[in-house]
Amino acid sequence: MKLAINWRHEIENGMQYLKMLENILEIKNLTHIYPDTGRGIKNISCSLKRGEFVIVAGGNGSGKSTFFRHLNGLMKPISGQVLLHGESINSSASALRMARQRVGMIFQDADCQIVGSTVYEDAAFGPENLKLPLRVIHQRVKDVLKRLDLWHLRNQNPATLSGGEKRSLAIAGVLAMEPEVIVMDEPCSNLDYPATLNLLSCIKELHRSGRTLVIATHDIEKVISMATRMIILESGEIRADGSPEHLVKEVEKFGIREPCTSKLGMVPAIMPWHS
Amino acid sequence: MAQLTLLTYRRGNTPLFNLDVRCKVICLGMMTISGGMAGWHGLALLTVILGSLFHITGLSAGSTVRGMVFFWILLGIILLTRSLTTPGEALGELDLGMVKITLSREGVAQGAMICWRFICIMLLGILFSTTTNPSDLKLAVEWLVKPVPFIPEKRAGMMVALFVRFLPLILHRAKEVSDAQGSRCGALQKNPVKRIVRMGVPLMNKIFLSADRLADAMESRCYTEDSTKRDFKKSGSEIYFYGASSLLAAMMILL
Ligand SMILES: Nc1ncnc2c1ncn2[C@@H]1O[C@H](COP(=O)(O)OP(=O)(O)OP(=O)(O)O)[C@@H](O)[C@H]1O
Ligand SMILES: [Mg+2]
Repeated sequence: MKLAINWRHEIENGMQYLKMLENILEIKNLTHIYPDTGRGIKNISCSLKRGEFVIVAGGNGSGKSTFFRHLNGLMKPISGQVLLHGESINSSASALRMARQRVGMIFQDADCQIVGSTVYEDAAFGPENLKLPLRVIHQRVKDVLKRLDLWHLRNQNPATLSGGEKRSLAIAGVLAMEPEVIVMDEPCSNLDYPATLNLLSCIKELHRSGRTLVIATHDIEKVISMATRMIILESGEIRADGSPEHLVKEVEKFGIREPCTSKLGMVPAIMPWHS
Repeated sequence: MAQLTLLTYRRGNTPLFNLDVRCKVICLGMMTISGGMAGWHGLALLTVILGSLFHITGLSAGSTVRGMVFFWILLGIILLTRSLTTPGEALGELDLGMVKITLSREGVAQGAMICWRFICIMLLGILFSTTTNPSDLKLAVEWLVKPVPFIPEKRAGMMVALFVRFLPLILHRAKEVSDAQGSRCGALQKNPVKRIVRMGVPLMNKIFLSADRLADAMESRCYTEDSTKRDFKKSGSEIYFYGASSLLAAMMILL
């Protein structure tokens, strides 16, 4: 009897391990050139595994935002494709819808992504579009707002929130749809020190709960200690892809500031930002 | 942070806040129509009732009056043109050499009555919009537009909801643009047309950019027109409001 239970346990563990190895997102030769400027992204290929924490680093105009907008089908590539669990996200309307639910996108400008006229309503916007029953929606909204410490503000007009609270609300709106991958474009911009700490602990928590995170930034210092992988973009192309420890010494070649701890030659070179 | 306007919803727990939005729309309609037909006594009655509703709702008279600056100017213009253009018993005369302008008693009376009606209707509108949660407003629009053919009610509802949501942001952007130009001596430009163009073009640009981003954000969250439907919330006191407003409407028309 005991043996049987152990067996089961082992198999479950093994399955989980296999799942970890599985590619959630596969990006194949993605190219998108803006006609009016001739810039954009060129021939990007990479695949993201479950549970990874990826930093997409690059200077201004390196193509981070353009790349991200392809991950949930907001932009259609000129060539190449994005596969979610092996299926192209642009193959059908339902695949696209699936991609938008599974890949939660948090934009650079928090002001323009708040749709609802109260905090509660904004968090409910996504689940309502997924046509979930009201009861489920309420439960989910309550959960995420409590988790992000916004529940006491639920009836407030989002225009009256602070910058940090707006960013939290944007995250809550995406979390309420229960995505597998969370994509954030410059999440720390415009946040003060306490708000940044808050956001970082939230990001850490999301990663711990098993979500795959992809974060674009030109200021890698704040998130690098949590990352498991770093992709460096320059002029719309991938210039490097590897572990943060390996790449941290090279980032300055690509217009990204090397973290202080690494610059000063501390050991280890990568430490949590607020320590 | 964007400032809140006079019309933005404020949370509260008084009877008006919890009333079924359909009831509010119907009562608002009755009051507006009978207010438009009422004479002096009827308007006085309506004003007293509106005053007490404002008081119960917790809206301050001072900020309401201050928030309606443009409205006061508009009313002033209406009053003036009415007084000057309606023939009747002269109250005063202004001699400008070539033209003679007379202020008539009938004109002043008519103008005052029209302004009073406008004020009552405006106050009704403020009362409605400050006590109505935007999501209820959306439901109300859908409910009102539904019988009208060729208008997609969900889209109309979403448009109204987004407009309400973006009004503070638009005002905020307008202020940003005007501050940015003011700090670069934009006030030295005296030509009003040029000033409007200078102000309008960047403002429109910003608004369109925000609209683009908003559309992206909505798409990212799977926006669809047939999302989960919300129910109307009833407070149970609707029947009293129907009764009271019918009575009031009848009195206003008859008085
Ligand atoms: N709508 C557009 N039309 C034309 N060119 C564009 C457009 N959007 C971006 N570009 C160009 O594409 C390139 C990549 O832009 P993108 O916004 O992806 O960069 P980014 O890495 O996100 O930069 P940042 O750090 O400033 O956010 C830039 O050189 C930019 O000039
Ligand atoms: Mg960007």
